[in-house]
Order: sequence, then C-alpha cells, then structure tokens
Amino acid sequence: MSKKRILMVDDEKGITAITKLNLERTGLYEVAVENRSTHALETAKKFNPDMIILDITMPEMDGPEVASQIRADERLRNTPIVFLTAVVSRFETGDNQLERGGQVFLSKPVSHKTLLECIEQHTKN
Amino acid sequence: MYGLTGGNGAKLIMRLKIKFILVSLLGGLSSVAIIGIVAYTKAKQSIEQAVAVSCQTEARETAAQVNRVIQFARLSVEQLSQTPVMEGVVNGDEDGAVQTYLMHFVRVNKGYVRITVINRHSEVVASSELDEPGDRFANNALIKQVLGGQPCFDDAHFDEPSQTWVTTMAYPIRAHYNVRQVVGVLCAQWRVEELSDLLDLAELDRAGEEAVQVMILRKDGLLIAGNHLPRVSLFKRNLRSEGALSAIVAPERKRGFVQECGSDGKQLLVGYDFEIGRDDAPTAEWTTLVRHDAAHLFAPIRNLWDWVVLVAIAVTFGVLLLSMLISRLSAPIEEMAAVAEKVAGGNFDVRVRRRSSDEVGTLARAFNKMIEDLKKQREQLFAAQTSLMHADKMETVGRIAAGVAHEVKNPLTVITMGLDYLSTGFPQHTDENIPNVLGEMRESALRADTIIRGLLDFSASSRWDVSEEDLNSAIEQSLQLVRHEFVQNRITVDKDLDENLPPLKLNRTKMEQVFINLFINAAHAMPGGGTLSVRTYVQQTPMGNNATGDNVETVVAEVADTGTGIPPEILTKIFEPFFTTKPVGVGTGLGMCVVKNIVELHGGTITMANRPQGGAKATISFKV
Repeated sequence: MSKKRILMVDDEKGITAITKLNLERTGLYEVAVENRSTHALETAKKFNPDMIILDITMPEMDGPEVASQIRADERLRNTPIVFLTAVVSRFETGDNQLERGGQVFLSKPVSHKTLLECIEQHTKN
Repeated sequence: MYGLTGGNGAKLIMRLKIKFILVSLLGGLSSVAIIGIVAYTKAKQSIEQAVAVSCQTEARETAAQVNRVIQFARLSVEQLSQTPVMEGVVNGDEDGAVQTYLMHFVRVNKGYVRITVINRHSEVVASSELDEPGDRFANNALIKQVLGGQPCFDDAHFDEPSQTWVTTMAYPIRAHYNVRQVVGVLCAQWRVEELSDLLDLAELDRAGEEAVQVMILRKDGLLIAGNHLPRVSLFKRNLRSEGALSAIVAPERKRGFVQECGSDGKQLLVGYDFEIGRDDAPTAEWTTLVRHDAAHLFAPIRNLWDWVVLVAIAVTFGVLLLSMLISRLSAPIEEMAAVAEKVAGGNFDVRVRRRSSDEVGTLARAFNKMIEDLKKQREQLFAAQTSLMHADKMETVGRIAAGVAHEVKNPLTVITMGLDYLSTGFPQHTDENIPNVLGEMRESALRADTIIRGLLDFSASSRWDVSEEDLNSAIEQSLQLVRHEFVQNRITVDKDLDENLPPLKLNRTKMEQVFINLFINAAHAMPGGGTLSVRTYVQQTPMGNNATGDNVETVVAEVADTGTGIPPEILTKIFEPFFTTKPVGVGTGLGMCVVKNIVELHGGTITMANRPQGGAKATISFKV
C-alpha cells in the first residue's frame, strides 16, 4: 500500500513544518507543504495529492480562492479539500469538525489525533 | 389618535367657532355702545344749542308781543288825549258827560284801571272813577314832565285803591288853537296783570307744553307778569330766575340763555330777551323770560340715554361673561403650554390637571394621552438605543475577538502540534518529568484555546441560519448533553414542558448552547446537589397598543436552581463580557454574555433573578 499524499497549504511555516513531521512519522503519509497560496495550484499539479489541507486566512490569496482554482483543474477536481481555519467558532465546528455544503472545516488548533481521523475519513482509498 | 380625529375634531372646531362668533358679537356690541354714547353726547350738545336758541327766540317774540299790547294800550290813551273835548274838560267847560265817557272807556277797553284828566294845576278835573274833582294828583314829577309836552310813563307799581299793579301812561292835552300849548294831562293807569292774561292765552298756542313758564320782570328783577302763576301771589312770591337775574339787573341789557336749578329742584332752561321799544316806554326796561323744564324738554334724549345705559350695562355683563369665557378657555391652554414646555424640557411625568367635559377638557385629555405615549415611546427608544449600543459594543468585541483569535490560534496550533510530536516517541528515559511538563503545557495550550473559542463563539453568534424548531426538544437535547455533569453533582431535574408550544424560528445549535450554558451554571451553583427546574409555557401578553385589544403569544422558558443564588452586586453585571464568578481557568467570562447575545438575536429577552425561596432563576421569552 502506497503512502497517501497530503498537500498542506498554510502561510504559517511552523504549522506546516510540524504537521509534516507528525504525519510523516506515522509512515502512512507523504506530505508536501506550500507556504504561499499563490503557488498552491502549481505545487498541487506537480505533487498530485490524495488530499489537500488548506488554510483559509492567508495573505495574497485566501483558502476558498485556492480551492476554486483546484476545483477548476481537470485532474485535481476530485481531490478532497479540508479547510483549516482559525476563525470558526465552536458552534460552527461542533467537536472541532464541521461539514457545510459538503465542505469540511477543521478548527485550529487541531490535535494530531483529530487531523489523522479527518484524513482517514476523507481521503479516497 | 389623540381624540381629535374625525367627527369629534370637527365638532370641537365647530364649538370653538361658535365661541369665537359670540366673542366677536360682544366686541361689536361694545363698539355700538361706545358709538351710542358719543352720538348721545353730540345729540345732547346740539339739542341744547337748539334749545338755547329757541328759548331766546321765544323770549324775544314774547317781548315783542308784550310791547305790541302796551303800545296798543298807549295808542288808545294818546288818541283820547287828542280829542277836542279834553281841552274843554281841562278848562272846566264840560262836566258830567266826560265823566260818563271815561267810565265807559275804562269799562269797554280791557286793562285800564282808571283814566284821569288833570289840569295845569295838577288838579283832577275828571276821572273814570267817582273821585271828587279837585284832588291833586300824587305823582307831580310825572305831571310836570307831561306838562312840558312829553308823554310819560312810569314803571309798574302797586295801586292801593284798586289793589293791583299798574303802569301809568300820561299824555299831554293840548290847546287846539295852539298845539304847542299844553293845557292839561290825560293820565291812564293800566293793569300790568293784563299781560299775564296775554301770556296765559299765548300758552294755548304751545300745544300743551305745560312745562313752559313765561315771565316778565321789572328792571330790578321783580316779577310783574307771568303764566301759570296764581294771581294773588304773583308779586308776593319771588319767582325770579336766579341764574338770569344778574344779567337782567345789569346796567347793560343782554339777551342770553342759562341752565339753572329751580327752587323745587327741577332743572330749568332759561332764555331771556327784551324788546327795545321807545326809550321812554317802561317796557324797554322789562325782560321777558322763558323757562323750560329741562326734564320735559330733554325727555326724548333722556330716552336715548336710557337706551345707551341699558346697552352699556348689557355690554359690561357681556364683557364680564366674555372674560370669564376667555379665562375658562385660556387657562387650560396656558396650563397646557406650561406642561408642553416642561415636556419639551424632558419631563414626561407632568400632566394637565384640568378635567372638564367640554372641548378644552377633551383637548387636555388628548394632550395627556399624547404625553403618556411620548413617554412610552421615549422609554422604548431609550431601551432600543441602549440595546443598540450594547449590540454595537458586542460587534466591536466580536471583531477584535476574531482578529485576536486568528493571530493567537496559529501559534497555538504550532504549540499543540509540537506537543503532539514531542509526546510520542520522545526518549522519555532522559528525564522522567518530561511527560508531566508536556502535559502541563498541553493543558495550558488548551486553556488558551478555550478562551479564544469563547471569544469566537461570542463574535460568531451574529451569523447563523434559523429554522422552525421546537424549543422543548432543544432543551431535552441540552439536558442530555449535561446529564453526566448532573449525575456527578447529584442534581435532580424537574421538567415541566408545555407540549403545545408553538414552533419558534431558532438556530437549534445555538439555542442548545444557551441551555447548556444555563444548565452548567446552575450545576456550578449547586456544588452540594439540588434540583434544577426547567419549565416552558405560553403566555398571553397584551400588545403595546391597547387600542387593538390583541394579545401576543410569548413562549417562556424558565431555568431555576436551588443553589446559592446570585449576589445582588453581581446580578447587574452577569451578562457583561469577561465577567465570571468562577475561579480563573474554569470560566471564560463569556458564557452568559453569549447566552444573552444569542437570545436577543432570536428577538427574545433573558432576565436573571434570585428566587424568594433561594437559588437563581433565568427566564427566557420569545415572541411567537
């Protein structure tokens, strides 16, 4: 079984770095990170991920814009996207995770456990 | 709205109009009265003037008449003196026949008392009376003057033998061969009283003007003839006009007019004049005086005056009535003006006290109602403003919270994930304390996250979707979520949920959050256990506008505990953000603030109070 390919887009280098460490240490995932949202589509095209974790609030281009670029891409269209956001409240995320209009939101700070569960749940096998 | 609309208002205006017309009418009447008084004064003046002229004219005409009568009497005597037989009588040629003729003359011609023929020696040679001839005539001065060739007259004087007032007319008897030679004197005594008869006769022409007195006065002011005078007392009583007398007895003769008060208190109008006769005639010295009773003469004008007085009294009463009316009308309006000023100054507790059943009273009631409504609206406005300010504050806090959350959450994420990384596969044998340290760190990070989440919950509470929900099921769900907490704290739940609650437009998640917050707070208030009561019911409350009589349905939820209650000083601050009674770290200080925010964003209200039997009670109301 090949490793699942996860692309993480977040302007916070600390978050991407540690998430990459945490996920890759499980041995189950291959993680690519991109700190500039404007480069996210290009990186995704190169990396061809099984799932994209996308920060919402970013300089230059925000998460939903990046998502719509990805949705517009022929090859990447069906790639699951999980939004990671600092701004959603507990009311909206319930226990840290919220689905609205088929879109999944994760609330920062997210625990390693929650992140793993979320990835398992939404990645295509 | 204030009792002034529709037919009521029209009636009110109509009544006010009628009052205004009455007021104008009275004003008009008073002008009429003033015009009347002025007209009366003018009329009186001109009538008085006319009366004065008329009195004088009457006096002059009467004087002329008197003069004519006397002239006529003299003419007869003069003619008699010129009869040729008189010369013979004086010379003693004639006797008995002349005597008889004289007696006949006196008898036939009215007014003569006696006629005497006197010779040059002042001896009476013949008389109409049976005097003995040869008597000497008393008035020698007069005889002397006549013997000088001049006819002579004396003033009115009392004649003892006839007991009457007479005037003497003496004419010379001349020799017919030489007219310059005076041979004797023909002397006639003429009764002045004859003039009174004349005046009485003239009276008949006055068409019954009984109030008029006509008098003839001697130069010294003595009354010698007059109408309406009893003959006996004619010369005994002094009936002179005092006002005119000074002018009458003055050396220079003047005609004139006076008003005076008679001896009987009557107002008299007196005109006087004289007839300028021959200088030697005594009538030239007499004054004719016409006296009118002012009351009689002014009777028509007095009548007019009565009317003027009547109108003036009526107008006075009218004005009195009017002023009362105006004061009745204006006093409440003045009061209203004063009240309005106070209301304008911000005092909404003043009212117009006047209560009357008329239109002004209606106005006053409408006015009071208006103030009442103004007060209510102002209070509502104030409440709305306060709530708006609160909402504004919340909005600001929310925006800051979102900003802070974003900035803090990223480092928190790094820390949390870092801790996750460190806590697995970290070589723990190097230091046995590392797991503890990591645990403490994780706990702190979580606490920081909780606070941030609270802030976000608070700020996010203004954005959500609503749907028709059953409040009871939200409560049931919330109770389920805190069941564990209740069991732990030995808290029993007493539910009394009205099954017929109408559905409410709610955000289910947020409403559950409200109840969870309330339940958790209640549980914390009962650390030694207790009872939590949850009750829902529908309340019928009258609408703000009583006029419609409609009720509005309100769904009420009450959450009560048997705990420690809320200290009064805290009760007022309980809904403020960052206010908590819990130890630091246990509460975020946002719970109740979020609760209030959520309830209010649902259009509801929440109040917190202590129960009389102990514990606190939260009451949430939603209008259906």
